[in-house]
Amino acid sequence: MPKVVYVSPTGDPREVDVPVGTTVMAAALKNGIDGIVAECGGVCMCSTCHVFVDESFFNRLPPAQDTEEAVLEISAEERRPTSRLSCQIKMTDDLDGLVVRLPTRQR
Amino acid sequence: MIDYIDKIPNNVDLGRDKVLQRALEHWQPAYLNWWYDMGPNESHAFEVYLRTATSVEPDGWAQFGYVRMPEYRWGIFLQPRDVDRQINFGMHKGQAAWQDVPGEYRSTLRRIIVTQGDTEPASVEQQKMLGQSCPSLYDLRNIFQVNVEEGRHLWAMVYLLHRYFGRDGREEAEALLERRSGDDDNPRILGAFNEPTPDWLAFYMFTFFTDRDGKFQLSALAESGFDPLARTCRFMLTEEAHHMFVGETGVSRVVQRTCEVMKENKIDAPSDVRTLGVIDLETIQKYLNFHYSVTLDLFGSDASSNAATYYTSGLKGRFDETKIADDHLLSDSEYPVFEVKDDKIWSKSVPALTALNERLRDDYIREVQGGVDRWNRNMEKAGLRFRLTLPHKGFHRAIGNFAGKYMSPAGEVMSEEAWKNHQHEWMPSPEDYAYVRSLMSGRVVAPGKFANWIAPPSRGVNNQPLNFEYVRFN
Repeated sequence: MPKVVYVSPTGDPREVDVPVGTTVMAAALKNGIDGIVAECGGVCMCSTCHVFVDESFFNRLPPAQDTEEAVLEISAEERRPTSRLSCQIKMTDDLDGLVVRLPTRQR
Repeated sequence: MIDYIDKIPNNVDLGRDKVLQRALEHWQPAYLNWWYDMGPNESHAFEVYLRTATSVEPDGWAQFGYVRMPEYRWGIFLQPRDVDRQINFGMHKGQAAWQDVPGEYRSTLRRIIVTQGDTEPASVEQQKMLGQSCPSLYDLRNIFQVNVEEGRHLWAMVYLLHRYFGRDGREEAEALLERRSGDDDNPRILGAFNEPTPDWLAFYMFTFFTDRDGKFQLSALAESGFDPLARTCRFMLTEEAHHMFVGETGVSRVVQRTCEVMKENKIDAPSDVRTLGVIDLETIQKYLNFHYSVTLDLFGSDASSNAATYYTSGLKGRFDETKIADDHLLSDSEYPVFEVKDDKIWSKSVPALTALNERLRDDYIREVQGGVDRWNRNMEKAGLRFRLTLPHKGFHRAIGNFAGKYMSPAGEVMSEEAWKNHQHEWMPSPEDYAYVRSLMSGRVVAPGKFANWIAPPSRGVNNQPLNFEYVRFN
């Protein structure tokens, strides 16, 4: 099963098995990753599942759609070039080892 | 007869619950009558590009399509049940969460649900006329989305009243449709929900500030030991996120447009800004001061025995209760609150149990500050020095330790006379409201067009373009 590495704001990594098709947000909630809030339940409406995707993986992701781009503009920690909403990242085999860094705050 | 599968999407097995069906068969026509009377004015034939919740799954509850609002499928949804869920705070901590109303807390729980439920139709009533002056189809669609979801939140609370509180619950559900925002004889329960929402800047401020109070109240109730209330509120929170998005981006677009005009024309005097048909930053600050302060009152008294009782009884927790590392009993801990003595503001420690309103208010203030900081990015980008700020917690308060005190936004205690001399520097004056309303004398409804006083959003709704026909007028 592919893995995702969630890196806390202080730099601590935590590796989690994520089934293909599951979102990076849903896997974080299921595994109790602090720092992913997902206030809107995963429908791209609140920006509280904001992550910074490791550059080596960023270009492998399907591009963000307009709604995600709009919502990223209200993220608590200002968005960066590699910002994504983890509710919009679905796991694939190709993304095995995906590294996402969590912002210092989500709201 | 209501077709329960098609008309009322639900995950509460409504099709088999005869008692609930009978209650809703009586209540639903009254609800629709209320919607026709008090819902968005002259909108009933419009086809609106709305999302409808049809299940609690992420891919099921945000179904987009054109809907006439009276035909909107107001559903009843609870977050799926966790059979192992326990009460996480108070004297019942560690017990299994209640699936039925505990007899000793029946009237208290009913009051909590009614108070929350009363806010939902109230905001629809407050916003009833705004469709006549919308700045774009995009914004018109957004206010309608907010309105139908506030209607659904009313349904959610009415479901609890009907399902768990018998006859008195049904009577309370009817009364929710009878009170009216701002009515002298039969007003809504909470003060901020009787204030007018006279224009679109007020609407954006309301959805940013006051809907966020709703979020914090719902979050505290989502921790409740009464499991159906907790699960209902948890799902409502998912929808509340959109309302706050509308508010935050709405204010930000107003600020952005003003900054653009100020920069292009190298002006900063409010009178010069107004000649160019946008809202000066000083007036935006006054609106902020008003909406922030009346919303702070919604959290209640700084020290409250009711709040302590709700917590100890396991009915209403703290924001993010289960993420807080303490004993979740609060019997020995303290919390700071402010009071005014001898024209000075003093901090004093009180039992944390009685200060739960104040704690929730402080949680709220921290989050609101983040949004204000994001609005200020517009000024930074435009190279302007003006910054929006939150006024002091004691400014313009009517409830709690600051009630009856006169304080400036900076937190200086002053006399009533001195405060009134400055009132219109800090709060919108009748002239300010008249100016803002003058910008919104008609609605802008050509697809892709926006009123001069607001910047377009960066993106459309549900990945649609900005010139999408979000509302079809029939």
